[in-house]
Amino acid sequence: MKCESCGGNMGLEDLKCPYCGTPNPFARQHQEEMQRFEQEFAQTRDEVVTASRKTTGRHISVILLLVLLLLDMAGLGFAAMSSEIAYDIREKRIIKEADLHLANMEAYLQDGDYSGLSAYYTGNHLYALYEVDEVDAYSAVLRAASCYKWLTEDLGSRVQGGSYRFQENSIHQTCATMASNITKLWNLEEEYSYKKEIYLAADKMVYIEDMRSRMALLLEVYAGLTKTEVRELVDMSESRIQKTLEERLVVKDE
Amino acid sequence: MNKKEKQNRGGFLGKGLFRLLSIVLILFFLVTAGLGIGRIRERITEDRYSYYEEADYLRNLRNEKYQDLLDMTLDDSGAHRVYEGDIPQCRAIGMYYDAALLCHAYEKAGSAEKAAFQKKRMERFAAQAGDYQEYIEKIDALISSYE
Repeated sequence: MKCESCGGNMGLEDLKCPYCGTPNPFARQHQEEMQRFEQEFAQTRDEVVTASRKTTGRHISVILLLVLLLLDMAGLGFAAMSSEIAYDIREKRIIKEADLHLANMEAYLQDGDYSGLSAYYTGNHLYALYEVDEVDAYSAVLRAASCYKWLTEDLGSRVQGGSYRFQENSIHQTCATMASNITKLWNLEEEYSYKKEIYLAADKMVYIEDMRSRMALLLEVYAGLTKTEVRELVDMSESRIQKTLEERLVVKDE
Repeated sequence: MNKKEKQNRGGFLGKGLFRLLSIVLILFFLVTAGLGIGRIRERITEDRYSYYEEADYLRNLRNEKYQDLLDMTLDDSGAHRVYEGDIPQCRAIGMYYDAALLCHAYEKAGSAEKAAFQKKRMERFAAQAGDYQEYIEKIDALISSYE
């Protein structure tokens, strides 16, 4: 701009003319305007920063709560699935110890402890080993052992005396259960015919036949069946077996 | 307090409510996670639906419920189970009952070899019965008198 007094060039910020020293009336106004602009700028900047901090704070709160909610849902899901997770872990542990369980099972068989074998298999959840061929091969033997265990429980209770199983209101159910187990024990060939070369192999049949002959003897000695009735068990229907047992066991009570 | 003032306190809920909600949610997570972990530990360590205490065994023994004792012995057969107190003796008597029933049946049938096998089992279990020998004799008497 030009000095109003001498016409010399001067800047808008110059308070006086550099040539004649005349005060610049626009410089002060310019300075005041610049100061005002700077103040407004600073204020606006502060407002923007403060506002954005508040927005960020709100966002963080929302995100934190969402994360906690997600964690809670995960926690609930975990608690709901905990049984399945536990069974999965247990199953893996059982499979890892397959050799131990197989050795124990074979020890029970060597001792002729078929009830012990059945209880060990069930109690240790060894159905998890169905994919282990060596254990799966004992399926028919285990089935027989289960039937054998239930039957010896009934007969052993009878000898012990005082069992609810042989009271008037329970004896028919007891005989029905015994008949069912006898039928299953003597019809394993039909049940396992689809893989008989594995399940009913000669070394497995030794145990099954032993259980059958033992049970036949126990029914004769402790349930009062005649030798003929025991021999005919193979051909009897389940209902016929039940009736025979009721005749023997109820008569004995009388 | 208006919305602007609330916002000025920090957070859209207000600091106090936000903290309370956070604590509740964190506690909820800890409880559910703890429940889940507890259930997992319980399930993977159980060897059976339940196992029996010494008092359970002794009750059946003293009541001369030998089959019930045997059932308990068989059911309580976890692979990693450790038996304490008088439980091993009680279990031996349960197994003695099992062997004695079989021995008696084989003797009646005239199967000497099989009876002898069961006799050996009876001797083995009788030796483990410790201070409870009287029950061995009671079992012998019970079975031999059964008609």
